[in-house]
Amino acid sequence: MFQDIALAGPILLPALAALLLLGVELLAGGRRSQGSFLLCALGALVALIYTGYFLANGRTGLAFNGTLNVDNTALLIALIVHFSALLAVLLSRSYLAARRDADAPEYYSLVMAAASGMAMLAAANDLVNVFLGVELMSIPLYVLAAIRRKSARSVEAGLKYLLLGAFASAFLLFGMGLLYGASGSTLLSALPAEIARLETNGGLAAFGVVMFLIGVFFKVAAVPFHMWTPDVYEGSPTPVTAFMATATKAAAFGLLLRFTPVIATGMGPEAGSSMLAVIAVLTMFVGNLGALRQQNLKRLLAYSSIAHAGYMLVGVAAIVAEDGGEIALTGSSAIVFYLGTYAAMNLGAFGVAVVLDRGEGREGVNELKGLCSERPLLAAVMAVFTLALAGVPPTAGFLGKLYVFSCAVQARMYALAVVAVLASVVGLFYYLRLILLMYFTPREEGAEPRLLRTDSFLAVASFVCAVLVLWLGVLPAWFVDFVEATVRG
Amino acid sequence: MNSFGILSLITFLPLLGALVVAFLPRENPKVLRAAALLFGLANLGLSLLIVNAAGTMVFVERLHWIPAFGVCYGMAVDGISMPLVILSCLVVPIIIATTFHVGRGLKEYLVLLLIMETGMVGVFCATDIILFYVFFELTLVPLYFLIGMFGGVNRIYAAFKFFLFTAFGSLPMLVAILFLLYQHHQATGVWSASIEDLRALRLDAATQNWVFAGFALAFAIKVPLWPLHTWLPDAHVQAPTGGSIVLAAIMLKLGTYGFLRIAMPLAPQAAHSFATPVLVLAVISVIYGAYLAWAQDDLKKLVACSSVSHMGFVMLGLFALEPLAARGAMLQMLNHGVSTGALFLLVGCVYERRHKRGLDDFGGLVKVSPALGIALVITSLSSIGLPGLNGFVGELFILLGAFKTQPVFAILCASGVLLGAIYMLQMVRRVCYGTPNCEEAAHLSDMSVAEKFAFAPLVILMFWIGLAPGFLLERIGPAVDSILAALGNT
Repeated sequence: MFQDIALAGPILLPALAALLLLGVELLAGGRRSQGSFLLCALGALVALIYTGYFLANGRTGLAFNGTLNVDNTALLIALIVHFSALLAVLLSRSYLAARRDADAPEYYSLVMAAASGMAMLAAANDLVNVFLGVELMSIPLYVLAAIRRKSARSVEAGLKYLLLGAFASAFLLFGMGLLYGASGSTLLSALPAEIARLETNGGLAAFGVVMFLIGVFFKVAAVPFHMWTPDVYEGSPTPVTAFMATATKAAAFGLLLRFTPVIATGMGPEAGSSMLAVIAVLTMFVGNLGALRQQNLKRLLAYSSIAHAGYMLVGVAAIVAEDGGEIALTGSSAIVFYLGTYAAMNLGAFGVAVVLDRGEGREGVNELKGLCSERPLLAAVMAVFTLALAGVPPTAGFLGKLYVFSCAVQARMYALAVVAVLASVVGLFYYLRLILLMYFTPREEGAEPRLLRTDSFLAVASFVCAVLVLWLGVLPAWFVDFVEATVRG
Repeated sequence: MNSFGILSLITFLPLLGALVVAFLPRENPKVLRAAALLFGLANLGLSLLIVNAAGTMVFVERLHWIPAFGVCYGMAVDGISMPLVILSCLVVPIIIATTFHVGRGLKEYLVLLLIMETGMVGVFCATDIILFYVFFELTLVPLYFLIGMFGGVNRIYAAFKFFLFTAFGSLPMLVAILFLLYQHHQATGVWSASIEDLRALRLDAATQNWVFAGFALAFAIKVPLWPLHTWLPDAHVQAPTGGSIVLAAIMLKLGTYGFLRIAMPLAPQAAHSFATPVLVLAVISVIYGAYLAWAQDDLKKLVACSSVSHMGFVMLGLFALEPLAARGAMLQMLNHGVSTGALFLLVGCVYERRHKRGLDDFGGLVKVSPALGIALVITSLSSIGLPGLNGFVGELFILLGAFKTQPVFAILCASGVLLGAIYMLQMVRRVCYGTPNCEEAAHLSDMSVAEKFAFAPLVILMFWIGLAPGFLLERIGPAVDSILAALGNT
């Protein structure tokens, strides 16, 4: 029992922090203080260190009768989730200071609750736990999206997210039901064998897989289930958007990785990978093309995050195509590597968005104009993130793409690799536009001087992200080896 | 696994310089320029240490970089890369010495230039294909910023077009690289990204064609071959003088160097089967580029278009697949770097004095400012290929070699030499001779001491390569032969 609880630490610690935070806010009686911010940051940090410690010492295993599989991939995903949570919390302080209306007592508590759900999703080995994880992740995010109750945009974002999220959950549940019907088991690891054994069900398992995937695609914002993303990302408080864009993706892809054997047996490797490839291509192109015309930085990053989900789906398609081969391991490592680097660069970019916003809703990309002459360091950091998102060497973004696309090549999906590469070229257009605004375009005449305030937490967060993005790009060996070694167990 | 050595030092010293300059106060341009120049010259001095590289790869460095993929940090030089490395190291201090026209943003200018040098030297030294790709892309980013921040009126459009064209080419190359790595893994069970290991792969003809196509697109855009050349006039015309020089002298060579070092050896059969289509494009580039240049009224555009023509010549030399022609192609890469770099330098000098670049905005330059005028005349003659100057040797070798294997293409390209003489000489006539066209054109200051110093090494190189090409040929020859020998065996 104690062993089980220890293994579930990455899930339980943030949950504990969430409860504590609620209690603290209750006792504080509405008086705002730095206390909950610090407590929340501490909670995320402890969870991060705890996960890292387990990972470093290879403390893995099944917990709670095999319904949780805390393996290395799950721990890596949890690591990314807690890293994102910590950084999002660091971004939150200056954002909330500037926007009193978002500064609700339950804010930090909800962030931790969502992180707990995400960690659970990554480790879930049972359909019931998957659903628990999804809901524990989503419900706090619905509230967080709508937390600025007086802002129409924020409320719209929350409502949209809730409605479509509920649909997604319904699809997910339906898929689970069908899968259970096709296999008689709710254990994810037992599903493939059972489905293969009870082959008589015809299309039942395949249909279940598709329904399940629709639910997951909603969460990762894959086309055509991406419609909510731009609105929700735009309307939510920026740190929450950053958290959603990185941690939700990590958790959902963690689930997807665990689900790949089921896809391969339920639909067959051929059909499964073709479907994933089509979705990946659509996602990459819709994301990148959609971002081209965006004038709002958060919307632009939302479309960019759709595109990035597409790149990662390329890796998933490759894994499914080669069901169970060597590529399952390289593919998982590639996707986890991508998720990690993507978290760093995306959180960094949203951090800069928080600085530019100043609590006045300045979210247009035009805010970036002339940044290089006014705040050279901020512009340089943003340039690093932008180039990383575009996948230009020597940033980590390049290696992530290299890694994922090489999986497609290894699975002999050359066309998919070429298309993915072309989609990255399209992506260059809008990423370069951001740099162009920062470096090549002066501010309009007569624009009032910018009073950008960066608090030290935000500065540290952005700095850590920039260092990570460059470090993982220039000297990636340790991280690649670490991911490969741990994923391989 | 050897440790860091001289090549890493040459590659990363400029980056250190960029860091140092970045932390110097921007109020004092003299200090900034002096510091950058110091790093540039020190690097030039260091680069002369590798001057004896010839037939085999020397100064080999190999460190694990991403072991999971067999990607190494591998550096080495031979007779092909050595002159290009030294040229890169020479060009940067020359540009730094002539940055007096850069007012605000000098610091950024110098930082970008030094980062650029790291990329350029690295790309010629890399013996690992992923490392090559990383440096290849790394050169792109600083130049994009140089054009976008310091360029002319249409700089943003030009910078954008430049980046997109090049990136569009290099991404399919990435797929080709990944494919090769995977093929190597399939064949041997080991991951390796070393160009040497990948050369040992025996791919079938169809696969080679695909691989070659992937690389060829990237390199043909860089060269640039017609019809992929349209980014070049824009980028050249809009770029600041330093950007134009780097672009002409080094960046375009990445394309031809890539063909010689990567595309041809890695897909030898495809190099033979693609020879004719590539040569057709090369001939079109030579002739079309020359006609374009002839039609220009703007000095900088003229030089930019002449680049297309000259680089077509280099491609003829490479794809004639003949030792003499390949030597000529290598020489011509250097010649083009020296001559066209010098031309852009002079055009920059002229433009600063007059703030106009039209061919008809000057006249009588030789009388008005003799040093500038004579420099322009000499450089134009070197670009035309006057015997005794560098251009002649390269063109002669290319044509002699190409006549043996590809007589038709050689004859067609030879007409390009004639056209080159026409457009260059009419430019010289309009700008350097006659009488000044207007009052301003009659009173232009002559070259400053700094400009003379910056120009001197280039003019020395023009005469040196022209009169005594043996020194370079001894080093280029064996390296080129070993690559061609590998091509012939398949």
